[in-house]
Amino acid sequence: MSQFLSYAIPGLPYGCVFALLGMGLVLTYQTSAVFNLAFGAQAYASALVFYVCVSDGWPTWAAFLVSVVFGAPLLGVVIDLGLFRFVRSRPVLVKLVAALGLLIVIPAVLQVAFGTSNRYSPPSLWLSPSTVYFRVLGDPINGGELSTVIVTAAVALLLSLMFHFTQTGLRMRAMAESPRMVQLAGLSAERVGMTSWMLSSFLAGLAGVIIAPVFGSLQSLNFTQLLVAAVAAAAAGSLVSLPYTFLGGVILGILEEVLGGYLPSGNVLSSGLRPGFPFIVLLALLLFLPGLRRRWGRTDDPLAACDPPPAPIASTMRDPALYRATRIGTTVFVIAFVLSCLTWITDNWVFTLSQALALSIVFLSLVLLTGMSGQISLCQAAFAGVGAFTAGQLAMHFNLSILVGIVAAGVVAALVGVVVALPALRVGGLALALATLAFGLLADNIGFQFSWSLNGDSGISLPRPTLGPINFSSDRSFFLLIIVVLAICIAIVEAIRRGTTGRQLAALRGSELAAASIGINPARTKIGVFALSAGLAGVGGALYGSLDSSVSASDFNTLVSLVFVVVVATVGVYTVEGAIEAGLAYVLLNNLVTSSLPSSWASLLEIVFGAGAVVYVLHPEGVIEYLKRFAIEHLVRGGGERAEAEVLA
Amino acid sequence: MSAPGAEALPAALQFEHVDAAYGRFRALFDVSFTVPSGSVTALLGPNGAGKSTVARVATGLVPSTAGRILVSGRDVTHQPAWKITRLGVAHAPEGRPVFASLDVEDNLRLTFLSQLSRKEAADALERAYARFPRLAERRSQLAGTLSGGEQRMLALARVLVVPPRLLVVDELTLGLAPRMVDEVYRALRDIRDAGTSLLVVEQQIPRALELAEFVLVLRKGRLVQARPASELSAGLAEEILSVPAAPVDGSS
Repeated sequence: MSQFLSYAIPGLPYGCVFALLGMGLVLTYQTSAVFNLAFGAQAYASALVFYVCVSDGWPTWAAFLVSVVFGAPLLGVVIDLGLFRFVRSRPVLVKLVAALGLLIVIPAVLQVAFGTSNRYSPPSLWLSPSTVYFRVLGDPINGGELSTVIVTAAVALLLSLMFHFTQTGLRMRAMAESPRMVQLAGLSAERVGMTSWMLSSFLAGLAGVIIAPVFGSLQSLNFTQLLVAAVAAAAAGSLVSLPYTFLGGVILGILEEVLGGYLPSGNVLSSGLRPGFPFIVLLALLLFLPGLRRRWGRTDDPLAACDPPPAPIASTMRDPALYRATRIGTTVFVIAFVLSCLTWITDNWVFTLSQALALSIVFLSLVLLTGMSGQISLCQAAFAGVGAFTAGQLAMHFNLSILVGIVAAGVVAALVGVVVALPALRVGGLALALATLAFGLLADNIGFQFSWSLNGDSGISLPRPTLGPINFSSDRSFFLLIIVVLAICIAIVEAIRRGTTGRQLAALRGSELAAASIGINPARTKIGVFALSAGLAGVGGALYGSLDSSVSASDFNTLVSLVFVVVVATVGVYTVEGAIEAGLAYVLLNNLVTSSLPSSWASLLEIVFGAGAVVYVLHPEGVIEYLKRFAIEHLVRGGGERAEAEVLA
Repeated sequence: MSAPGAEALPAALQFEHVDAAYGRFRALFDVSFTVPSGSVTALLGPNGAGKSTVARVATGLVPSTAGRILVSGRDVTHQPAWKITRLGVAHAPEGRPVFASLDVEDNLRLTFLSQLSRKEAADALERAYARFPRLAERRSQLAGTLSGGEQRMLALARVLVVPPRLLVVDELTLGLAPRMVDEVYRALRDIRDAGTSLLVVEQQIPRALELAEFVLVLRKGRLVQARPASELSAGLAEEILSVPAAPVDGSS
């Protein structure tokens, strides 16, 4: 028992931080209906500013004022005014992408502002962690732990009281349901929303500064991982209840430490299990808390009809002559492109373009999943990783050709996809996003560390394939192979779109209930598409690995997955060509940034794509799709006069 | 259209050549009308004519793209909904006009506290419960679990106790049992008697004509009739509404 307590008591402060973050998430979700995945990044921002101020010799209280009391709410105001105000009545997907954009942009901007140097041993906020104040059952309680627990308990109490018993709290709760109805009650929804953003950002900042000393050095990824624990805490409170979220966070923190204490140290499983534990808890909650599923599927603003309907896809507006011209143009371009790559383009560029096209296959999996079936996955890079190691290990141990390996990669990744999607499937939307995020982090921390998978950061090597007498070891021949595989993948996706499944998906995207009422099984259709999408990502990952000839866990980490989603959403997630354009844009921009700009600009790419996510909020059809439509309307149809004449019921 | 006897007071609501659109889709074309102060005006029209859009534009939920909107003589054209509400315009929207996730009492408190002092709000709450004992019984029940009729009573209770200058009602009787429809109309009558002007969007034409003094008829986003209710025979009204909504332009 005493051993149990000696593990459990140090877990309490962790639990408190999870609870703080979880309550912040619930608060934002309740008031703005945004599940703020950037919450960890906000915590990181405050912790970083606090660190910088203290190391500049500021007194702690002044640093706290700047970073948490003023800085954090200010950041909240900025992201509300600049972003989330515009997404309130948008679908879950748009909100998630907006939050993802922030999650990527905030650390990138901070890196530009404060430099990328390592920041070791972050300072503590209040009581010194090196002073032992008293002992509980012989365990020393230091100042850091004590201040964390006291601050969290006080904040949790005040917040719950405020939320449930004051007028401000009442307004915030009303906002969650319908900002427009709040307006009709004579209240400025903007002002209520801003208040809640300030409050939740304050919580994020506070949690960030409190937790920072726990990490050896300040890194944004630590804070992103913290988010999964916070999500699990919020899930324990069914995304509604602040007290239960608090309890959930505390229990999670304690369990994590207890688990860490009893597991043998030193192997991959125990070092990875701690970050992976919240994932397991989250999945368990998804499976066993039926109330949670209901909450996460909801969109019930009675005034949602005030929003304009989503814009149609440009291809539906093309007139036949233009369509024919585009088709001919595209064919000529593709042939010219392939021929050029095989002849006069330099090897370096062929390699780069091959990378882009291999990634396009991964991106195609997002077009299938997100664009065609309206689901979101935050672990496509992990599926690509699964594909890469499947092909690589098969080649290494069984001397299997990569060509066979690629097929195996697709199959294995698809199977893994089924396992990931099963628990979250009935809800879709947000729950699926969170389950896949957690899975991605689990893969980072445990799955990809084993020598039988990606072997951690040391990585594994993948040979180039041979097919009988044909050897694909040269970049040019491999380029051809990638083109062929890409064409097959496109053909599959197109066949699905035009066939029965595509129509079923379109029906599901419109209304799951209506689709179910005409005999479509939503669960089965969605899981099928999810598996296929995971399989495509696996194929793409295997090809990408074989092209690079070696891959490691860092090539497929969660941040990469997040960037993938943002890139594809920004460029155009509704069309097949969007995936290819996204692949090209990603690789070419990456090349540009790494080769021709100074290293301090390394985060520029993230900023660009993060900003792209903001554009996505305004134009969910994607930037290129938007430009295309703009061109069609204004060049061909003469100012879109016909569009003007349409009357909506 | 000018209403006899309304010259003294500015019109409760006035549309001047108003256009409105949802994104690319135009919903209203050059709509002009007045709701004279203290009167009940019914807004009729087939499905998809733009009735709800008129209601939403009047309270600022959907922005107008051209023209002017005046509330009690004040230009509110590009004002946000909450400011228009504070000028004394209440809007009971179509469907579910209450906060489903708040309990009955919180629904009432939210509105009262935004208009009244704390003490007046408590007083208003008591009066609302006195008028609708049913709501008092269910004061701590989530509004989403009330029946459709009770939800609409709740929406009207907010208005009855603190009478606004203008009430916009959007198909409040849709899907209700006849007895509940009677109750809704009784409450609307009470609200009118308290001096509130009403703009009533309605599909049950006979019921609307019992209450209304003026009638507006919309079709395909345009105002096609505006006249005193007495001039509109029931037969003519039926004829207006029997014209099917124009098919959406499918040639694109």
